[in-house]
Order: sequence, then C-alpha cells, then structure tokens
Amino acid sequence: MEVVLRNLTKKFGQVVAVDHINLEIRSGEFVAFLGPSGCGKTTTLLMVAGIYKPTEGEILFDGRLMNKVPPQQRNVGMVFQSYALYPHMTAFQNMAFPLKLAGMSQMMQAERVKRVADMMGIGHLLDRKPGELSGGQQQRVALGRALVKEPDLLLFDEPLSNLDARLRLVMRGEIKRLQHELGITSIYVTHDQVEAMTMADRIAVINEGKLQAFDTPDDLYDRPKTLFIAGFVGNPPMNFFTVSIRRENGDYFAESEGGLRVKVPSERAEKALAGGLEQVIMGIRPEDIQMDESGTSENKGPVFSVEPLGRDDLIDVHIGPDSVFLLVDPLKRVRLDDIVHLEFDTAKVQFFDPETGKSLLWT
Amino acid sequence: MDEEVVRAPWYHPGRWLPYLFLVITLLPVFVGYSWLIIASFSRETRGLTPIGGFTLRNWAFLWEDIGTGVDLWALSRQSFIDAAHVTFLLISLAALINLLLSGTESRFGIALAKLTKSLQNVRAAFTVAVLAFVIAVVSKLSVMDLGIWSTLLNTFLIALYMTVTVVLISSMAGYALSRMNFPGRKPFLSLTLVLHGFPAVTLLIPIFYVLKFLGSIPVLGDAVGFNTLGGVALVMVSFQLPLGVWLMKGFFDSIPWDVERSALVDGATYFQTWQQILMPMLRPGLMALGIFSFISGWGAFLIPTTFTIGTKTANLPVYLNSLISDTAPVNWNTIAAIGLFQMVPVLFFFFFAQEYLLSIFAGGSKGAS
Repeated sequence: MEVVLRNLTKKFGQVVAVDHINLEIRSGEFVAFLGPSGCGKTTTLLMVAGIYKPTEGEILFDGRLMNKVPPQQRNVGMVFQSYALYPHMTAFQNMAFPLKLAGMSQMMQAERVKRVADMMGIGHLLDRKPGELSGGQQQRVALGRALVKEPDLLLFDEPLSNLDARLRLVMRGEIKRLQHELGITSIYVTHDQVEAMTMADRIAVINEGKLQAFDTPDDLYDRPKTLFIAGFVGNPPMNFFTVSIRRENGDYFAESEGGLRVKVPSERAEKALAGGLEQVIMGIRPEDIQMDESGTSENKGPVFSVEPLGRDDLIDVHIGPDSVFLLVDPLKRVRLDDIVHLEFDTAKVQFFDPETGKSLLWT
Repeated sequence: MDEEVVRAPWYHPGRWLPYLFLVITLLPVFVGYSWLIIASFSRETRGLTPIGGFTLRNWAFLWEDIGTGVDLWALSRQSFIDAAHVTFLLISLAALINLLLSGTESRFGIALAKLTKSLQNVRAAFTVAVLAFVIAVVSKLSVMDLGIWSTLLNTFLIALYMTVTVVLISSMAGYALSRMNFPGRKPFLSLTLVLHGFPAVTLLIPIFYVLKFLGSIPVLGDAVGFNTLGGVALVMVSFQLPLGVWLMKGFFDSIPWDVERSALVDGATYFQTWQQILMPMLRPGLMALGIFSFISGWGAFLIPTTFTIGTKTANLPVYLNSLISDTAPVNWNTIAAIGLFQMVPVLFFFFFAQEYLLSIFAGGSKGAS
C-alpha cells in the first residue's frame, strides 16, 4: 500500500510537534523515521495509525483520505516499544485478539495464530501469559500480533530499544527479513541511526518536527544535505571545523584558526567558495582520518582521550581549540598526551553554510 | 545450603519483646471482641464472666417482631407474575425497536439494533427475567414491616447502592482524570482531595436543605428526598467519591497508554477497549473499591441517623442506637448480639477478599502474571 503524508502538522496547544511533513512512501517500501527523542517522529506515526488526529494536512492510503478514519478501520499493525501486550491474556489470546474483533471463527483464529507463531518461533509459548515470557519472546508475540491480521501497513515504534544489545541485533535481522518476505509497507521509528541505516530502504530524518531529508541510507551518509544530518548519521559522528578556504598554486587548502590545515579537492572547494562565504564548516568522518606514523604531517596535537571500542580505539586529538576524533588500531597503543600526527583523506569532505546549516555541495 | 540458623537464646529480649509489645497493645481490642461474643450469648455479664449461664434469648430479635401476615408464597407468586410481565414487555419492545431499525445506517441506530438483537437470545432473556424477579421481591419486601430483617434489607440496599454508584462513577471519572487533559483538571483533583478531608458533620445542615429540596420534586423526590434510602445513599456516595476517584485515577495511571492504543489499532472500538482490555486489567482495583464502599456503607451511622426518621428507613447502626435509651434500662446483651450480627458480612469480606483489599495499597494492576 502506498502512503502519502501531505503537509502533515500536529500541534499540542502552542507546541508544534510535527511541522508540515511531506512524504511519499512507495508500496512495499521499508521506511525509517530517524531523529533524536522528542523530535515528533512517534507523533507522526501515531497520526498514521489514527490515534492522534492531525491538526492540519492529509494522510492518504493508496490515494484514499484517511484523516477521519478511526484506527480500527485502517488495517494497520503496530509494534510498540513497551510491547503493549495485554497482561491478562495468554500469548495465544493476545495474538488472536485482532482476529476475534474481526469476527473470525475460532478455528480460523487458531490456524492463523499457529501459522504466524511458528514463523516467529514462539509456537510452544502460546499458552503463557506475557508476565511469564522473556523480553525477546514478548517482542515476538507483539510482532506476531501485528502480523496476524495481515495488515496493509506495519508500524514500528522503537520496537527494539527495550532489548539487550545481542537480541537487538538478532531481531533487527529478523524484522528486516520478514518485511522483505511479506512485502508489507512498513514505517519504522527509531532514534538509533545504525538501526535505520541497516534496515530501511529509505530514511526520513526528522528534527524539531520538520523533515530534514528523505533519502536512501547511502545518500544520507555520503551526501548529507544539512549539518544536522551529517552530525546525526554515522557513528562515531562526523568531525566539524570552522575553516576558511585559500588557494595556493592551484591547490585549495582549508585552514582553521587553531592551525589545522588540510588540502581539499578543488571540485568541492570551488563549490564551497561559490557562495562567497568568509568561513564555512568543514565535515570529515573519523574513518577518513589516519594517524601519520612517519611524523611528517603538519597537523599534530596531543591525545586528549582514548576510548577502546574493541575493534578500534576512538581517540580525540586536540589541534589548537579543535577536537579531532578518529579511529586507530588498538595495537598501536596510543596513550593519553602522546603527540600524534594526522593525515586527512579529504575525498569525501563536506562543506556547510555556518548560518543556515545547509550543505554547500548538495541540494 | 544446610546452614544452621543462629537464634538468640529464649531469654534474649529480641526473641520475646516484639510479641510482648503486640500482645499488650492488641489486648484491649481482643478483650472488647471477646466481651461482644460472650455477652451476646449470656443472660448477664460481669467483666468477661457470664452470669446465669448461656442463652439464645438475646438473638430473639431475629424472629420476634416480624410483622404477622407475611405470606412468602403469595409474595413470590406475585413477584413471579410481575417479572414475567416485565420480561415479556421488554423483549417485545426490543423486538419492535429492532424491526423498526432494520436497514438503518446511522451509527447510533446500528448500535441500538445490536443491543436489541442481543436481548432476543434465551440467555439474555433469562437474565432479564431473573433480575426482574429479584427486583420485584426486594421492592415488595422493602415496604413490609419485617422487624430486624427490614432494617437489614435497608442496610444492604444502602451499601449496595453506594457500591454500584461509587464504582461506576469513580471508574469513569478516574479514566477521564488519568487520560484526558482538560481545563480545570488540576484544580478539580485538589478540590476532591480537600472534600475528602472535610468533616461530614459540618455539612449536615446544608445537606438537610438539599434533601428537603430534592424531596419536593415530584417522582424524583420519592427516590432521593429526605427520609428515603436513596437520599441517604446519595449523600454517602458523595462523601465516598473523592477517595474512589483518586483511587481509580491511580489505577488507570498504572496502565500504559500503549496498551490502549494497541487495542485500538488491533481493531477494537473505544467501548471494546474499555470492556475487554481496561476492565480486566482493573479488576483488582474495582473489587477493592467496591468492597471498601460496601463496608463503609454497611457501617454508616451519622448520615442515616441524621436524615431518616423512624424505623422504616433505619439501617442497622441506627437501629442499634435507638436501643440505647436515656430513661429505660438498656439490655446490653441484645445490643451485643445485634452488633455481632452486623459484623458478619464485614468479617466475611475480610476473610474472602483480603487479597483485593490489599491491592488498594499495592497500587495498580498486578495482572501481569
């Protein structure tokens, strides 16, 4: 089913939670709503589900206006962060509840629930109450309950954030696989950019109620259209420096006031200069910065912090007032206050307007 | 683990001091209740010692003073006929409405048609008939003079009315206060709390005027005016409601919003959500509040004694009080027997419903397991 949001707005009193969001979700697509907590992504989802009524704007399912259709007639399945299982019912009754309400015969209910439960690997737990199930099992029951009525649209409201890290990884794969196999249009709300990047076909980045971008994960990562997206997508986050760009002997150099000086590709530098700005914000991802062991690089500074992440160490090098985060091999045994030289790979460097936060490279 | 529990020797104060404390502080209560039981079965007592042997004479109120000419057979026959009439009328009416509504498309019409349709199966009709029979019997009994049994019925009706009304209104108000945001919500909540702390005595005179006024309204006045059971119950309900509303608000607060949202998305209407999701989750709370209201309605004295005159509308505590006279000698043994009699349902509830009563303080639905 195709979902279109047109100028969708929700106000709670004076507070604008969702501000004129326009989106077109294709049939069978897996879309993630990504944004920090309180940005309005869950509010948008609840409007799509029919729990909240939009203050303004339209919600269209396959071209049909849904604004006034109550939630029970929208045929959507929803998975909540808190699972929202009915504690007084067994797992079976929980999953059969939508079918019972639809007036399905008991035989049919049992058959459908059994099939979905087996698919979810919870067939043996059906006579237990939610209180007797583990977090992962509860999550599967909740997912099964959303799937059992064969909805036209699946909504996920941070479904994995209550699970432990390992289980989250497993469920992530399972949900993605299920969605792919069933081909149900899905909206997945999350504040975890890794989740959004790994699962979604396209990501809608939302901040302060406004849609920042609606792009594929690769586009968001390589061609961020705003400073917010550049900083939010990617882990560890992108480094930002306020620089001015100078031209010397046909090459372009970005220089910060603190003494950082890197050569940047002329194509990107020219675009950054086109606006005639004195100073721009330069963004470089931590994985594009290496330690220069020959010690020839002029960009050097003391190590301020070292965070072992297992495969890599995340280190913070201070160059003047600028702080540069990069990943290094733990075997190099970088210590606090070591002076390290840095080499910048600027092929993927980003430039932003410091006033508006808009990208100077991509529109 | 077979670890030996190290216990202090018997002469250590930690072993016996708590018991000693409990026994000493509870002794007056224990002695009081012992006297009540002993006295109710004795001719006379001095202290806790019965004098002149045991007797059942004090319990004579159970069978004496019952008005003559009570014909149980005629009563039930007449009630049966009445109930049959009412049931027949209701079902025919439902069928007629259902017929008239066939083909309607308005939402209210469809809902009404469903309701009237549901009355047409045997089980529903039987339930209606039984209910009508019970109401017919009770209403006939309540106008007869059956001595203590009339008083008992009054007490029961007041308590029942109070339970049903308090539970119904509290659960609805609690839901609204917990879930909705409307102007004046906060002031309303604090106001109800203040009302709960307000001593009822100070309001007796204004309430008298209110009941007088209500009594002057035709039809309604017979049900809730001054010197009616309905009026007494109404006043007591309003004193009980603040507690009930706050309690139910707390219970609703403990149910996450997502559960309700989930039910709506699963295809439930608002009514179905309330009936199939919220009510079962709230059952411990509702039971607790119901029992609490029943017990306080059962033992109510101040309001019934102020707003009723004579024996026709008296409840047990009022009747008990009327036996204590300033001039005539008082038979304390009979009073003890009636007191014990009045305690029976309370004891019953405490034995069988402790679990629910405790959940008032445990706060919230533990329905999870």
